[in-house]
Amino acid sequence: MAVDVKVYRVLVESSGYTAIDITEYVRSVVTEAGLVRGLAVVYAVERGCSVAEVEYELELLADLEVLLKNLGCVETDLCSVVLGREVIVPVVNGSLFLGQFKNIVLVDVSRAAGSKSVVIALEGVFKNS
Amino acid sequence: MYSKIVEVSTYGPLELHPLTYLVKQVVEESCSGDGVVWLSVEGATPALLVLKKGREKEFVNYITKLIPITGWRHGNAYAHLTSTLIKTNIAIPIVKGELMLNSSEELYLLETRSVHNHKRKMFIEVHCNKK
Repeated sequence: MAVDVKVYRVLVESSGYTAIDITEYVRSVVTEAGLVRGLAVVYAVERGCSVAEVEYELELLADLEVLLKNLGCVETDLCSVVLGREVIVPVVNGSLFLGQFKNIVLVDVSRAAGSKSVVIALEGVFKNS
Repeated sequence: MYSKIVEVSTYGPLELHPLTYLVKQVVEESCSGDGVVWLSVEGATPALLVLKKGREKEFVNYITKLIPITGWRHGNAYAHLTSTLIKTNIAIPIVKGELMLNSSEELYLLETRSVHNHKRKMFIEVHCNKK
């Protein structure tokens, strides 16, 4: 079984200063690419953006905002350093290995609305390869 | 590429469970050359970390100062936020079949929740140039 790498770029509409659940974007890219097993690296390209793994629940996201403010990264535009710009999600039998509550979330602390680029790099064994 | 899913039994809250022995076993059965092992734990509340042995209490004190257990809107927010910040994935290089961890260090699974005999699924994948 040959290991291959495929890279995709998706555009996510952001209102600015928000958190967007991008789990379904990643899931559909994995399915369309035919990745059977391997790793999905989900990486935020834009300034002020991070990719994090967190349950997408409004009260919890409000708590995350408080935590980031307490850590002083919102005003200083350093949240992408604190949270990281990427997550690496295993793919097992074509499915994302996350568990019931873990979502892949684009955290955008910039005040700039617009299309935000997210790069998804898939590495592993693909169907028909 | 070699991958497997193993189940780890945990208890908590905020207990560190050593995993080095388990990952070493997987590396031993899959890699005698150079490579990397990727680890991921299922769920939105655990975390994976490498820490010097003996600093477990210090780490837990530090993380609870950074992310207090109470005072949040979401019920067990401290567990989720700890997991998000510390992360549920880790990658460790393998050199000549040896996991690149100092003998004074340990790979831990942090169980944040107040649970007993909880089963956590761990995904382990090894990329290696020599079986």
